[in-house]
Amino acid sequence: MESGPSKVAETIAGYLLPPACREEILGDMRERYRSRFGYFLEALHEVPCVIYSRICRTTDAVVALMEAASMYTAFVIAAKCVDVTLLSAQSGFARLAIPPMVVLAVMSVADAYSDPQRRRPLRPLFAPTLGFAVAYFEQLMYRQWSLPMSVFAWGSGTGLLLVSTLRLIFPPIADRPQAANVPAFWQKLELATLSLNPRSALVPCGILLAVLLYLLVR
Amino acid sequence: MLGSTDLSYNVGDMSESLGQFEQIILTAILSLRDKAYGVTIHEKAVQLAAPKSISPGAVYVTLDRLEDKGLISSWLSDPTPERGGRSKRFYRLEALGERALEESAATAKRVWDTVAEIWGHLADEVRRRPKWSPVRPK
Repeated sequence: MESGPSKVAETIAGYLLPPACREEILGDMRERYRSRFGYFLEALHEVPCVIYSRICRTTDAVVALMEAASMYTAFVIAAKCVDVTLLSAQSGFARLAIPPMVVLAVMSVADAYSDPQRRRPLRPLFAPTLGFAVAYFEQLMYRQWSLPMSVFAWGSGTGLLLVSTLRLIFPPIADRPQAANVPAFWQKLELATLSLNPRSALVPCGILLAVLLYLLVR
Repeated sequence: MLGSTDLSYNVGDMSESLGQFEQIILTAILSLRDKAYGVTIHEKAVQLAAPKSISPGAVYVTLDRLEDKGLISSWLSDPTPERGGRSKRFYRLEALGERALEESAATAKRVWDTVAEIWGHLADEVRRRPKWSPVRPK
């Protein structure tokens, strides 16, 4: 009888599990190991549950709503300035909502998969950048729902700046400093401490202001 | 900082929102004491919920939710060789969790007492009634 799962199976399961809970879940799965098929079935059921749970833990509904609203506003302003016909076209506003939705979904998953033990200074910018990259490919794949490239470019640029600024002010839950003996639920309800470095906020705010002024003057 | 009034309000709120599955998980952690980690909690929960089956995934989701609510806390142990050099995440009931479970158990007992009282009367009535027999009138 096999004593444990194969290295390949464990590696695949390890890649699929979010890093924050990978260690204990893989250990538990190894302890429960009976057969290869059983391990596969367990992974098939357990991994989506764990990912869902991690997304729930790392997503702050209030901040997510702010991010969604700012991105949608950025795309609507881009459409108004670059291609007004899009706003009067059939399902124009719905088409403008697709890229923000894709970015929001990607950011939620990226936050769930972020490793809380590794701290990187550019991490708040990584998730939105990845989100807009995925949204770009989504635009290429579904032509009938895609936006004109100029609208997408302006909307993405402004949206990226807005979301990045929001993430610098309200970092994702996994990146916030964890106080001892305070449940994560209460940390969600509190606003993050404003330990914002003025220099780091000045650059994106300046670029954002310049872009908005340019769009308004045009 | 939470005052005593706020805390009692929160505890009341928590116990109201405790589902049956959450109660099972909290009871499993309470009964396992310092041996409560993923595998043992799942085994105990299966015993408590019998004949219903429980998947390990559902246990992990509930453990995370209970930890977010502040009812339990967790910590990682040292790596063990039988788990391929991986650690166990142990869980412990917090004071808030103990009180929430206590209130849930008290509510469940009150419900059961009421049901037993009504069913007890019903059972007596049924016992007193003559037995029904499918006899056709001649």
